[in-house]
Amino acid sequence: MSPLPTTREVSLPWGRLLSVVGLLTVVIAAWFGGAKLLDALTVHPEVIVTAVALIGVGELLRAHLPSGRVLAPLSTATTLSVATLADINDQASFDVSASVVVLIVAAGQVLALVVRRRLDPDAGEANRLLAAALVAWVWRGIPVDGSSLWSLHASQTTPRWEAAVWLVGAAALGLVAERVINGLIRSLQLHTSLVTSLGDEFQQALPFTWALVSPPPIATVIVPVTGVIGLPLALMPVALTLVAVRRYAAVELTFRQTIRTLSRLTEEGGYTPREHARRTAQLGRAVAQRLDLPDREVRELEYAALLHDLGQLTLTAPIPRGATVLAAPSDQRSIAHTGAAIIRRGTQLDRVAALVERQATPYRAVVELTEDVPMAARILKVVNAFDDHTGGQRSQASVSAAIERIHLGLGYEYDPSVVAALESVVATRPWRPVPGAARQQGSDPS
Amino acid sequence: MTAESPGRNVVPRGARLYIVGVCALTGVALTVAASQGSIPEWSTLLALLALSAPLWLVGDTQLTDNVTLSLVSVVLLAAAVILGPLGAGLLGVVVVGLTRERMPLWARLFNMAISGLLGVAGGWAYAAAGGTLDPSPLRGPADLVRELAGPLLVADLTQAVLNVLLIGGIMRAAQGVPLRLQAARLLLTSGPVYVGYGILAFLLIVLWFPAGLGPLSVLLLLGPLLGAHWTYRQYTAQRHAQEQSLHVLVGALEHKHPELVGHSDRVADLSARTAEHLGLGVSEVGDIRRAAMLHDLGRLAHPSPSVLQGPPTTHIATARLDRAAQMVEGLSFLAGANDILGQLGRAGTPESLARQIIVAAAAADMALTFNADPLAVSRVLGELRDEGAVSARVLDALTWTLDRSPGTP
Repeated sequence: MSPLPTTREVSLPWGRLLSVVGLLTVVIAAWFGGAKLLDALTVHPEVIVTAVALIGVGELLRAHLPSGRVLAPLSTATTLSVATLADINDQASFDVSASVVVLIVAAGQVLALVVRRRLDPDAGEANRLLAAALVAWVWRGIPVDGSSLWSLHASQTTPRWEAAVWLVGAAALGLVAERVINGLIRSLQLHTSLVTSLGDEFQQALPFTWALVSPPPIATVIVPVTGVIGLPLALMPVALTLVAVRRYAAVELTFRQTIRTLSRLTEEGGYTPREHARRTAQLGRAVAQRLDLPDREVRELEYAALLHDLGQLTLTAPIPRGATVLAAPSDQRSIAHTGAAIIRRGTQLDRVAALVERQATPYRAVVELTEDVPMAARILKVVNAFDDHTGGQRSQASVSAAIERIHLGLGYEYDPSVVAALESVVATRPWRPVPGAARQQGSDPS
Repeated sequence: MTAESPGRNVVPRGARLYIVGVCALTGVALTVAASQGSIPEWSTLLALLALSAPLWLVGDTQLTDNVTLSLVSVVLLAAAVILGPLGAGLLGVVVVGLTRERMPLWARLFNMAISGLLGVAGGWAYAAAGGTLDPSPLRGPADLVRELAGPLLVADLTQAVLNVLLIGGIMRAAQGVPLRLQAARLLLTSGPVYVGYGILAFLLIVLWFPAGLGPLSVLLLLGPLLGAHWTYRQYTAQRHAQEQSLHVLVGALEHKHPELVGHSDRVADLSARTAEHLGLGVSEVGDIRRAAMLHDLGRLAHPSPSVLQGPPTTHIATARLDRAAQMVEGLSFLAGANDILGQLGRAGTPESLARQIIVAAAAADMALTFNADPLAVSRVLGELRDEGAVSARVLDALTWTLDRSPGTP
């Protein structure tokens, strides 16, 4: 028997560290730009008050993505717009330093903080502030031919299309910076590779990445025509995306609830023990993250784990304790196939059905017969066996006994890399759910 | 935006006449606009057509059961200013005529005619409200509101109201739904979408002319619009998947009780079509369809590996319905269906239409499936009427639906 790991992994509070970096940035900006902000307030009170209010509102109107990510697109759009803003109708140009931009962004975030009374645990505020600071510094601070990008492109003598192209580039820089910082933090928090984390980051935030490239150029180009009202006007396309994303997130949450309801059918029918599906899904998620699976595959595995016993509904006599691991291999395959057939009745669940179908395939089929069994299906097989053996008990003795039983089938029934990840996860008892997914937990398996 | 076009493949004669009428009206409007001398600059028309291509490739997105988000509509509204009435009308006819979505010819013709008419009407309304045809020199909020935003709003409202009336008309002609009822529903559901179109069109024009970006302004707006569109697509697909997840529930039931294969689907379809014929609203019809789909779900919760006890009956057991309601409790999208399942289990309480429809549809399908006697359906429905469980109005509607169902003797 392989002994359980005795060391526990220590995770640094990366979100808090990022918040400290954000705070330091504000302190430095206040040191260099405090007086300049007061000057700017006397020249551009309307612009600054509008920007602070929009950032404040934007910080409150957030989008909670199904993956657990929390974005504030209206705030991001406003901060990037302020960073690039130039001419204003009937007013002097918005010629301020990068430090003034940082202080305006910080003021908006403080305004929202007064209402919300808590910081984002993933330090989203600091992330957005740093991205805006970077754009402001590049756009206004870096000397180019004795001038700055702002001076070169703010001038109305520059063809507007050329200025718009440069402005799109500046906005893209800020968005990429925000995504990279967020990806880095999640990678450190979840112990996944940076490549996987960044891939998930850009995929999940895709609509906002598209949507947010435009408002800064739109604002900078129309404010010389419309005046300050151009700032909120430029946000309208983003607001449309925000509404769409919030609706999508809500329906995705309901879909997860539906899957949870489906998973309870076998429990209600007395075929499987209560909470078995939920525990399997929770453990499967943790193991999948440990094995660096992308978000989409983690979610599919979670659904498959919730539904993996559905095939038992057709049994003429329930399996003792519903433990498929104790059933004959042919029965295991029959249950898996029936479950998959039922799940395929729902559209968009084909991949989930495939995982449920492959859960009964032994690991040796991968090695000896080179069968293509997805990693998620191999994880499902291992975590289901673990929960069947422990029966939900989390005592050291039951966990050790379950791991020992699984080791008897190591390399034959179970994938050794998955078993190693399982051991690593259960060693950090209780295993933690995904940071940021807490919002969904009330009705969610994780 | 266009609302759902006549949905069924068979277009009634009245609807065909209506479509021909709308096409003729559009032709007259375009001719009048041309005779007024509002000839668009062909280069600008072609540029807008070219810029509509990405939007055309994206297609429309169904937001709700009867509201569609069409990004082309933003361009059509802006075209009322950029091209004038004739140009906007022609753009509408061409762009919508080339829509990628597969649809019956009559529906495509109708949508082309509507879009053309909306384009011309928008252009006329804009001009009538004092909108400028040269927005380039406009500067400052006051000028922009007086000469561009205000008139554009009038054009937007004109298009919204006209669209609702035309769609309401075809629903009246095709399905007999009262125009006033349909118009009120459409105005409530599509109103906010039109407000959004107005703001985006305003942005497009300001970027194009006063800000001097020209056609690049479309590309600048395209990013966020495609982002929103893509997300709405995801949303719609997820909603569909959510609806389809009910089939997983039914699939589990049918694996356990093979004798019931197809019953839930048939009862759901029959109930929904009966409800539509009775003039119930879109969301009510949806709730009835879902409740009918799930009316046997309680059989899954049976603790033993049971089979049906004896032959299927025409009445739905109360305990089973309560169990079904319990099983889907807490699912927000099934809240309405769950209420109906609750009503189904309480005979003797004031009979809701939904309850009557599902009880009758389930009984009819059982009789059709399990009884070789072709008169079994009328006998079963007669029994329900004699018991007072189902009103004559519902039975008439069900009989009307059954008569038009394939496979009914």
